[in-house]
Amino acid sequence: MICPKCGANMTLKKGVCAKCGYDIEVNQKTRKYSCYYYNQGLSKAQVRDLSGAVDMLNRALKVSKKNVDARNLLGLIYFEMGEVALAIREWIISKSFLEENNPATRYLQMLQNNTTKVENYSIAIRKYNAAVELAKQGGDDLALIQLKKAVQLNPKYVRAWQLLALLYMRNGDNDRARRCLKRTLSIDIANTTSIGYLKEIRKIKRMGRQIQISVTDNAEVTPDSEEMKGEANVSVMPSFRYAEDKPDYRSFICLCVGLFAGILFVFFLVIPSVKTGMQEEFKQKQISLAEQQSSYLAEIDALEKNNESLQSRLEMQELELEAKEDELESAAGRAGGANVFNMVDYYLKMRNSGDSSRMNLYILQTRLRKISQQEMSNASVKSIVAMVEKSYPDVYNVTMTSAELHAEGVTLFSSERFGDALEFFVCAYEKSPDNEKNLFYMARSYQLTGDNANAKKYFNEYKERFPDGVYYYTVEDQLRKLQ
Amino acid sequence: MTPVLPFVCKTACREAETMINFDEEIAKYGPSLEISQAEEAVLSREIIDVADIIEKILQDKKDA
Repeated sequence: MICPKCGANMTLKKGVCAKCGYDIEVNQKTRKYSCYYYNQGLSKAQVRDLSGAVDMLNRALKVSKKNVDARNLLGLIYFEMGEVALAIREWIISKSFLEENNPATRYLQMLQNNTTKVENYSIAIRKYNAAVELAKQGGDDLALIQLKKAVQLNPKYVRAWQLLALLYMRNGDNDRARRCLKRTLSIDIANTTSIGYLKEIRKIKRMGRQIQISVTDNAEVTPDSEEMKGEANVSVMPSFRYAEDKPDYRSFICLCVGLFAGILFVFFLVIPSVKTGMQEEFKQKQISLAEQQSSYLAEIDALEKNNESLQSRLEMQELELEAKEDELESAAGRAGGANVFNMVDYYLKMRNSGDSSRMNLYILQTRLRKISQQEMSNASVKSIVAMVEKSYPDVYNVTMTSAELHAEGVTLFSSERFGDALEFFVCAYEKSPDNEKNLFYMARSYQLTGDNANAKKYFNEYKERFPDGVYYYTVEDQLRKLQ
Repeated sequence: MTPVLPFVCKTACREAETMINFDEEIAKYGPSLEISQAEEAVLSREIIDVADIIEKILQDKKDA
């Protein structure tokens, strides 16, 4: 047999190692008890009584620290309960006692290969530690937040769930506390702490129901009695019933009041200032428009005055012109005869109207040609004719047919310009005297211009020359009227 | 005249006295060992078992 302490060979008979003096009987007994506790721990672990198993395994290790199986199992249980650091510690110690064929090596290797999870476990532990500090200082809200994150990262962290449940119980949220504790019992079914907390919750609920029932049933005891009030206030926690949040009418009323105040503000302060601004702008525009208007009126006055002066100048010039025309006509009459007078008359008419059309030029040409050589010998007549020719240099270049002259005459006749039409009919007749239409219209134009003598003359000529003419009967009628 | 409390209420009052003390319970919670501290915990911890104690006793006896 090998000595467990020094490793030397030893006989069973002596029971003590010859080399180091180690008592093997003690070793055997400690190993026996350690195995016993290990078996207890194992059977508890198999039914998920983890806290019970931890207790047994710790005893086994206290008896024999080299019980590798117990240490490995303890590490597994710690890992299952969320105490990862404790599990790693046990496995490291186990590995130090037994290097080869040790499952602890495999467990540590698995953790090394899964660094993300290990990181999460580490964060969960840190948050739990922070929550413990906060809870001791009274910062329940922050502690709750930390614990919620911790159990999220490590859902099997029994201590974190228990502390969370305790904080919920302190804040009166027994339903949530119960859920947390049930979670721990699913991991560790006989956890005494969790069972104790659940008992407390049941106690609280029971007490709350009992007070309600007793108050309603007993006629002598009223809620107003001092004893009942005192008892209720000191030790009884009321049972909470689920109630929906009632709508907050106050905030709605505040909103309406604020809205109304805003409307009033806008109506009494903003709108008048905007109105005033607009009125100012309107006044400014009005002033500028009035100034513009006055400047325009002044301009109009000036233009009107200018117009008046121009009008008067024009009248004076027209009078001068008339005088000159009269002078010219009288000069023409004195110098020449009727032909010169007629020519000058037509010339002045053309100049006044500004109409130097072919028709008018042709008429002027006709009248110029009618001036005799004898009349032309007069120096005054010569100068007048020269003046007319100078005014209209193309007067002699214009030629017109009889039909064109007749058509122009008819146009003027239709417009009741009988005097002007007569000019054209006379020229047309001179060009083609055999045209009955020219003769008729000429006679008729004489009649309508008041020259009855010429009218009679040419009507009679028509009767003689055109007995089968189209206008024969008309001519007869006109002659009867003229007699 | 003091009202007579029903039996049920008396029981409730008695139970109320044994209710959990939250501050004491929270004080029982201590910080967990962190993973980074695990190795240090192994080195700093002196592991003694019953066999070591018995051996020490026997040794002291022998020396005496």
